[in-house]
Amino acid sequence: MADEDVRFRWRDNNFYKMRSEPQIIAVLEAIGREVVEKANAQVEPTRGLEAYGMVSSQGARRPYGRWHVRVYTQTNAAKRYEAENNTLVRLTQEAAN
Amino acid sequence: MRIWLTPQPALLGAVTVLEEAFGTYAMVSTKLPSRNMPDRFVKVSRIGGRQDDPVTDRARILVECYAKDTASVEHMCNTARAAYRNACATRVAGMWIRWYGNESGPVDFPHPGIVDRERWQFTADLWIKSNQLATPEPH
Repeated sequence: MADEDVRFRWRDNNFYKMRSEPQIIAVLEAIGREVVEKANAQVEPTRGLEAYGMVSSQGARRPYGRWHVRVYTQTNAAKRYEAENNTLVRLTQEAAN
Repeated sequence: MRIWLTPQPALLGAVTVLEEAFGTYAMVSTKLPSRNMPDRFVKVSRIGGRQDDPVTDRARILVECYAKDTASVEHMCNTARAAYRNACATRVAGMWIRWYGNESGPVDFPHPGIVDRERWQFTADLWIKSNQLATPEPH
């Protein structure tokens, strides 16, 4: 029993596929949406454009291809508010917890 | 049975570490100065964190350094980072600092309302011992 030889063979391609599974994406995007909603509640839209936006995409396969959800400022008012209050740093912490 | 004690004020510890590091070189506070803005100052905030067990409060802190030139402000950030690292396993303001790490930054992030000062900032985790008085009843 103690001498049993166990070998692992990692299949990078399967890891890559796993990172783009809908369940994984749903969890990450839910966190992103929470941050965007809370951030947008703090800054008025500019000419119909929400202050903060979100994109969701898979990173380059080098070899990982991690899924990224990015929240960013879309308007000048949001950029200024962000620089004054560090909104995203605070909200991402809150969402991560 | 677990005994959860009131955590120590982590922000006070974070400020005290920097006050001791900077001395009279820079003012350290949890708020921006409203007037008579000094040449160099540091604002420290707690922006998150969590306590998962009775012994450690894990505070996420944001440190913003302000100075009139880039060289000074970067030097201040690095001084602050080193001060936190050196504060690990020491007692500060009556609390024991267990660990410091998970840094992000420093980054150049100018404040739009304070145009005559450079601002660099970083975030990090500061772990504070929270069970100084924990003495569970013997069974």
